[in-house]
Amino acid sequence: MQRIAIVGANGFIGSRAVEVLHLNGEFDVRPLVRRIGGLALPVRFDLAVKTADATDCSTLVEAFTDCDIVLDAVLGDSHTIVESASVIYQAACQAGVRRLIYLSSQAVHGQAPLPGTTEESAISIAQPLPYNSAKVRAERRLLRQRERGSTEIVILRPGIVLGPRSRWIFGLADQLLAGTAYLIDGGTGICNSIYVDNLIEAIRLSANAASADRQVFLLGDEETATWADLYGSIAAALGFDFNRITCIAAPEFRTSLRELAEQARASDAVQSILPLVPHRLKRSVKAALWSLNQPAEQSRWSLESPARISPTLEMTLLQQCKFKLPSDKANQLLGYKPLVSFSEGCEKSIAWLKFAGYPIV
Amino acid sequence: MPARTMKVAIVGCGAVSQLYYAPALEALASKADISVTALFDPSLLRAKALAKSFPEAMLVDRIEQLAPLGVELAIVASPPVFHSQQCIKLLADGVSVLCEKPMATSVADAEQMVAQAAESGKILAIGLVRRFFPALTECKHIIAGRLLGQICSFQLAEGGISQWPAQSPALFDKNLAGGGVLLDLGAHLLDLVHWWFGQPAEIIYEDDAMGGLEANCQAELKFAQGFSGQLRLSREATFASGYSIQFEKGSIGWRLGETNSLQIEFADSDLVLSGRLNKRLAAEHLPITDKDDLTFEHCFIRQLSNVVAAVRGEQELVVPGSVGLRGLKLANQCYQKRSLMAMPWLSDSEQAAARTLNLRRQ
Repeated sequence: MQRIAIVGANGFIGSRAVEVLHLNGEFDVRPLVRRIGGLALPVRFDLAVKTADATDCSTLVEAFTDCDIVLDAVLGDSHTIVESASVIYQAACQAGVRRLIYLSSQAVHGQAPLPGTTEESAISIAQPLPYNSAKVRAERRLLRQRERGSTEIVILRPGIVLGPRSRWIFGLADQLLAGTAYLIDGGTGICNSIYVDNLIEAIRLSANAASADRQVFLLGDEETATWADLYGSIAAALGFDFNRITCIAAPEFRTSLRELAEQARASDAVQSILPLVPHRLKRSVKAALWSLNQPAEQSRWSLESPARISPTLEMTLLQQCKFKLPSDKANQLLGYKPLVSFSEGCEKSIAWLKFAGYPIV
Repeated sequence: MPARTMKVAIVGCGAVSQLYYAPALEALASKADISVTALFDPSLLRAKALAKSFPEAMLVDRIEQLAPLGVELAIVASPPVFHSQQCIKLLADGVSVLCEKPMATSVADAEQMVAQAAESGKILAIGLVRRFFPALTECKHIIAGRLLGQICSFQLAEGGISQWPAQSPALFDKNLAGGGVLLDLGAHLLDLVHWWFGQPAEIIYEDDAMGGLEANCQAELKFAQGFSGQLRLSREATFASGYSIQFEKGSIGWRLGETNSLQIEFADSDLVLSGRLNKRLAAEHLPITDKDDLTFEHCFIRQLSNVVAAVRGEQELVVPGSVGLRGLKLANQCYQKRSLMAMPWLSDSEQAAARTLNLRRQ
């Protein structure tokens, strides 16, 4: 049986990957988590779970020993995304891992990709969100490293990953419950969704697919879903009237000082000098930037609801998407075919919300 | 004032000792005339880290060294699987023990601990600090005195992504922890269930362990008096954590972490009384007598203070080994009735495999 190490096994995708790949008995699964507190989900199984920092090469090499496949499902800030991808690849090479499957994101094409976008479309680090740029840089680094390294690389670009423990699911439920959910342009934008089990099916196929090395794959559900479809599904489950969700026009965003600082921090130049900056100074700058974005205090005489709708740049861009990204390449080279439909995926996600204590009607 | 300084040892120098016991012992040292004289941990690094709080303490490499040093009270905060062996040895050596929850990983071990304490004539206390929370003590008062009438139902829920800064993975190692969230966090809740409502007549229990330790569990507990309640624990879900008890004439509610606050809702009212509990008289021999709120830290000190006073024969012990044993028996009854929690996002084949794995006893 092939052994797969899952880095980030306590995250949303990583934890579901452990469930699927272990319970189906196709792989010998070795979950890896960064901190001890992250062991809670993987230790539900009788597996050799390990703790390892995804930026510590020597610990990773030890953890990857005897593994055929490594799945990089690490979450983190921009710096962690770029750095960990590179270190995980180095460690995989040193440990003699055959193939690394890297979870990138459709966000490398932006949140609202242009019609006609495919895996071959140019990607850029000049992006509105640091996350997008970080994923672009991580992909580029990995492909450069592959030129010298022995471990094969498959890069997967899933879209909005739905499922149990997905932030898109519980985040939306939280917003609905708090009265802060919103739809832009009536939710007519395309939600490039992929149910997590479909992504894991692609991971499973990527482990052994011939001619997948150095290839990049866009991945999505079969159906073309809109944001209204997703919101409507969760709203109905929580007993909310979909028609009462606030509809707004796309707001304009100016890059805040905080966002500019985050973008600058993520750059290679700043990362190289950051270790030289005193910790106290870093903390002071961070606190100052944080305070700039705090909302003004509400008047005590106001009868308005304290719940305020605060559109984010990410969601604003996502909800303006007019193009369904294709999974044709994955279909042809990996044999990828989504196992779970969008509506079934929503049902399963809602079932998890109920499990997690949300007031499902 | 006590006649002489009580020598205290800490066995297990991990997160709970560093975060809770060390500051509590430091705060209590001069008031209660105690002194931490010895530290034990297989990791010298952890022992040395804790020694920064107690520079006079000796680092020992065997617990057999504690009694000859004159240690009267040992705080056992090692991984649960070591509790019984260490406590029994200490009690046999004539050292009283405050053992962290869960007191043991099996009922048989816990029974031996209680028996050894009786044979040695020494104190065996269990670290169930919630017994010292004013809000939860007041719940007991309301229930026992039937201040809101008969109990109708209850719900006890605690969940959240674990932020506990554990220094070793023992809590998540099935060979060292003895159980998952039920045995760990559940030790508090099962103790409260027994304290408030008594022994359930019927238990329906489910969890999500699939060959390992459960991260989620739920139980339906039915009582001979005719009421029932639900228990829900999670190491991942972030649902609202707290307790709610419904009575004939109203209900009471408690939010996790609010040691001295309670909510009371009277029947037929749209409003909820949300209040803070203060001491009627500030007359305790603790460093908190000049403060009118009882924080978690103060409750922890009160727990320690009670154990020290019990060792000296000055107070009755609030949480003896027999109380810990009762909770452990309840946990064991739950595990014996284990079945797999419904996880509808699993495919049919995954659910079948999960059910098989869930049935395997740890």
